[in-house]
Amino acid sequence: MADGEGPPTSTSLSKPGPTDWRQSDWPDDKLISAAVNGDRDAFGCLIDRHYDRIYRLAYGWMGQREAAEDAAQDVVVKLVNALPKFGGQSKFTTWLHRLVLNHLHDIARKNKRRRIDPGVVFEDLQIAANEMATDDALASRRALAAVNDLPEKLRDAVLLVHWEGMTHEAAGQVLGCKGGTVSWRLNEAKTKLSELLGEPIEKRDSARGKSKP
Amino acid sequence: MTKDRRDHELDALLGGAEPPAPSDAAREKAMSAAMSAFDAVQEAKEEQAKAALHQGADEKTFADIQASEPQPRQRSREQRGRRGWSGLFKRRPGTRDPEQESRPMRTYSYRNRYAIAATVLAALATPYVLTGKIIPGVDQDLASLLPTSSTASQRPPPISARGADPTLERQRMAALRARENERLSSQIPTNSLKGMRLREQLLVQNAQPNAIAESFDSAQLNHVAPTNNLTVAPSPSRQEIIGNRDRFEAAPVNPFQQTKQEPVSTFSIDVDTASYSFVRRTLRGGQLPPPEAVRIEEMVNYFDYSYSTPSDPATPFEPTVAVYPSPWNQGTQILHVGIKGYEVPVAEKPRSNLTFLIDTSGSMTSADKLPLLQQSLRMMVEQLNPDDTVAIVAYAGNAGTVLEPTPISERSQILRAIDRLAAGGSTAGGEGIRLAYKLARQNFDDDAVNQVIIGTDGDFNVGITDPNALQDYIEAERASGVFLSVLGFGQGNYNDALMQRLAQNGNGFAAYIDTADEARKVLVDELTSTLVPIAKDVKIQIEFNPNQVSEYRLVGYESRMLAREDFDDDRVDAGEIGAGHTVTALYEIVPVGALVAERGQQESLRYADAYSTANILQQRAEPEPAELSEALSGELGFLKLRYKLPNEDTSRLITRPIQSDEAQSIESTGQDVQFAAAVAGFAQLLRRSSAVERGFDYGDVERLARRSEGADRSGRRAEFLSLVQRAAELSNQGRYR
Repeated sequence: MADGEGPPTSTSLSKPGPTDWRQSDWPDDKLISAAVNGDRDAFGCLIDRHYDRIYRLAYGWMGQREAAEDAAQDVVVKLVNALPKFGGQSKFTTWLHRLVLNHLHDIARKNKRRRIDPGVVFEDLQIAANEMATDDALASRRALAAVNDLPEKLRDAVLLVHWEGMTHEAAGQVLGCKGGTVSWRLNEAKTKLSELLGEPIEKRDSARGKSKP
Repeated sequence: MTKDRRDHELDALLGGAEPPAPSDAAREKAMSAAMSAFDAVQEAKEEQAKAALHQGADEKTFADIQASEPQPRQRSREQRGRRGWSGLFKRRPGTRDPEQESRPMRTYSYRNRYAIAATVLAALATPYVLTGKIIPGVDQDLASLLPTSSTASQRPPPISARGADPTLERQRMAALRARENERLSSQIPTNSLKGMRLREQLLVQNAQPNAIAESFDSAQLNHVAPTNNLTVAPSPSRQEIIGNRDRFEAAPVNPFQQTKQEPVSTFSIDVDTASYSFVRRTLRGGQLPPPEAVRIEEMVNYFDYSYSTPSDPATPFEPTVAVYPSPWNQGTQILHVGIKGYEVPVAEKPRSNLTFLIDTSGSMTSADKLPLLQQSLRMMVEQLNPDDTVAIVAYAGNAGTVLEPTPISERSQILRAIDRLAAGGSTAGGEGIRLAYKLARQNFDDDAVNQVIIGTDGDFNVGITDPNALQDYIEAERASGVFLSVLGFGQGNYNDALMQRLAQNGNGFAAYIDTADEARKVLVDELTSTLVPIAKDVKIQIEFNPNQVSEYRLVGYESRMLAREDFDDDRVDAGEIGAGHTVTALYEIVPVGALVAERGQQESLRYADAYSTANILQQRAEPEPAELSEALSGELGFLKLRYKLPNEDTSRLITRPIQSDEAQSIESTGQDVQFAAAVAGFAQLLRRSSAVERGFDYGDVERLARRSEGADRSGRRAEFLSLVQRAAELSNQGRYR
């Protein structure tokens, strides 16, 4: 028949399934093995649990809402086939972060030297118009743009440590390097950021986040 | 700990900048996409298990299509190959069944099949040029201006370095380089992949000397295998789609052809107008459109021209021809060829059996999406005849029938169903398509227009593992007589490529609806022409007389060029034309003996500096003697038009000689011809075509358009004028130039 599930004659314009999953108290690895064995709900619950994390990372990396949404969606779809390959040697989140970052790097490679995407420009203009009013929003936007301008490896480090709250060691596991390397990259990143944001670190320290130029 | 100190510093730097929470709609969409992918994988596993038992009798399931996936892949690869190397060795793929109409519309081969030696030469030259050895400094300049486009485009313009005003010197250098590039590019044959890539790169550099360098490699890669990486990720990211758009748009600007070497020009008509809507939207949004989004012929064809129409459907059109001095170049002339399709009298209009497949996913919420779509549907319903039928299927997560096939005589019931549509939930278009086709078949009528019309913001592919499979499904359904059209909504237009592809393979139309006015144009004013094709595979060929025309250039239609021999080959697919549609093509021609200045790509001017003007004049005044009768030698060229009636497989031919004494002043050509010239001029400026003299500007376009605005009942010409003014303002702000 025409429909995979649900009665074909009913309109299903309402929101789909509930978000309270019966497996919501299961740990990640239990969900993963169930999902790999075909448990639909377990997979749903897993995605539901980690979507925000994926999106956050994508946003920080790309600095653009729709692109991040697209990327996050691509990643969760990718997970379907990638999940069986998760061996359980590391924490799931470590593995997931790596998967997301790899995907983002792939996208960046593909988009290198590509021309302006008019849609993005639209959105930016809109955001600029909406947010122009508040200094804070502008500052935060500038900061996001600055993170976005960091070289890829430095950006990875900043996002994992600063936004994801990971230790340098944990970030190192994701990035496949030592914790010390992460620390070094963070230092580099800070130098770059203060250049990009136009203020030396010492001055900004006292400003505490008010990055009005 | 050190960690704390570091984080503190980062805090100070980044302040409260935190990524915003994902929108619920996006979250739901992603969830649903993941679940669909999960289901597809599980289903595939099951299918594999019971593959032997499974007999797909009548109804193809999607799993079947997935199972047969390698086939379409191979075919499409070959199809794509025709654009590149294989075109040299093979005229057209013999594997295609000529009886089967299921070829995609744009399977064109390139016109210039130069010798293989030339291709090899281009291939050898490529690395040199690409590494900047021939054009030193171009790549480096661009690269230093903008490290990557992704970062640049993510910042709002005021902060961006993009808008930095180029110095006069830089402008001058860029112009010089552009000319140099264009000249180089005109020497590179178009029939090799590398040659095309090279040309493209050169032309793009011309187009945006101080904007962003485009590496054609990525676009080209997408072109060769646009969907390879989509097997699991059915929702292509916006960037990939833009890349796919490039497949059409990145065609290099048609160069001038020497009549002696290449007297014949062949192309397929194009009645799409999506490029105009897109340009309008971009300009209204305060930006000049990216040059490659401008398809000149689509801009010109957006407008109605009152060409003469025959009254007999057997000869569905007669060409209207005008020759006048070019408004954008000194010394050249424009050859204007217009055709208008036979207008089907209202009484003869076939019955319509329409099934709407409406995307009601969360992303359709905004005012320019579902609400505009509903408004469009209401308008359209008002246009239909009482015995036409309409059915509606909504898809969001699961597909459902909103309205069983209902005759227009029960209009209120239809309108109620339209009102009930509401956005929410996520997209999984595959199921919906099957349901929609099922309803269309239920009510199938041989004499009716049977169409499934998708209305979406572009996310309808979620839930299908492979766009190629979807395309095949649509092709198979087309064979059964149900066509498919796509109405695109919403900002960004980013699924344009997929929409166009599906509609072309479904023998339908693709329209981008950005405003209620556009909806009115497509679904009310032109409903008959959009729904009722009067001729298909319409091709135009012009043979120029070298005694009269030394060079010519087709303005636009870059992606529609055909090989000379394709014209008489009925197996080669070309564009359809609907009732009352107008199609216009402009050639810029250089009359023999004319001295034309300021034209970079004209090869005979390449050594102009080395020769005295007198020399050139002398050269040009002495065309090679040809034995032509007096009657023939007075002809500029010979126009041939080939078409098939909708239900015939053999083409018919219309011919018309074009006399050199048909040339007249532009003022005497009439408003339609002048207005078409204004639009073409505008499009070329937006495209930053260097085929247009530097002195020609938006002011000239405006004057030309104002003079030819006419009665303008639809108000579209007035709107055009406002866009010209907008573009003029924007270009003065130095965003691109």
